[in-house]
Amino acid sequence: MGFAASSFIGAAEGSYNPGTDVLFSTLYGELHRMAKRELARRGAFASMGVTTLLHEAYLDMSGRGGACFPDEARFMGYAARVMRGLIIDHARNRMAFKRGGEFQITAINGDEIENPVDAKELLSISDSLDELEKVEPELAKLVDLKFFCGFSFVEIAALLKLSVRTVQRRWEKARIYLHRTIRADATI
Amino acid sequence: MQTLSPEQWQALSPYLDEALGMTDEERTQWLSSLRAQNQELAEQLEILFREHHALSQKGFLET
Repeated sequence: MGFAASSFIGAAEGSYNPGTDVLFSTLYGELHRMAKRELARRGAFASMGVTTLLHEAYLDMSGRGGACFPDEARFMGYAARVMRGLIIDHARNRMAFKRGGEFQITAINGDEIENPVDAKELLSISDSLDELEKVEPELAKLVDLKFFCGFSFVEIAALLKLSVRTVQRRWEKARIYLHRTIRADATI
Repeated sequence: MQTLSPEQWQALSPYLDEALGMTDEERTQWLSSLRAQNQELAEQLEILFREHHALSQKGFLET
């Protein structure tokens, strides 16, 4: 994974905090890859294009004036969280549209409709991830990168400056939490 | 299956950190030793490890 680390050198020393615009430009290639991979993995939601996702992520992040990211790990983690939010919002809207448009089903091309079970599961995972973020934000960030953005353990380890083994262990811990939370909700 | 409160999770979290890096055999011995000190804690962890085994078997979140 090739980050342009030079943009962050000053930031790490506290002398320069690159704004979202600069980081977005610097890491555009990586962000594009992240968006493309995520949409490919969630193929059911392919009606949202890579450019649209990136554009909306940019608007969301640049709209939060004054945000500072001292290193690429925090910026990419934040970007991953924003992209998840956008994809989940998109999934919610489509599910709401389907419910609201129940009697207009013939007007919809069946090939364009995502599998409702997948969408529901995805929303459930995202809700549980929000809960995890409150108790162990580092685990939630890892899940954003691994599950929602498709980063490998090796890539995440390099990004977060951790050993691969530590990343794997944290991933297993996060899975335990999410599984328990999702299953608990399902039995209510 | 009940959800874990933030307090329950915080209490279990360091033990999970420790045990998830162990082999099955090491973990069994570790749990046995822990059970002698705190049976309730050991039982809660044992349940979570069983769930972990099951979720791994079915490939939870592995897409």
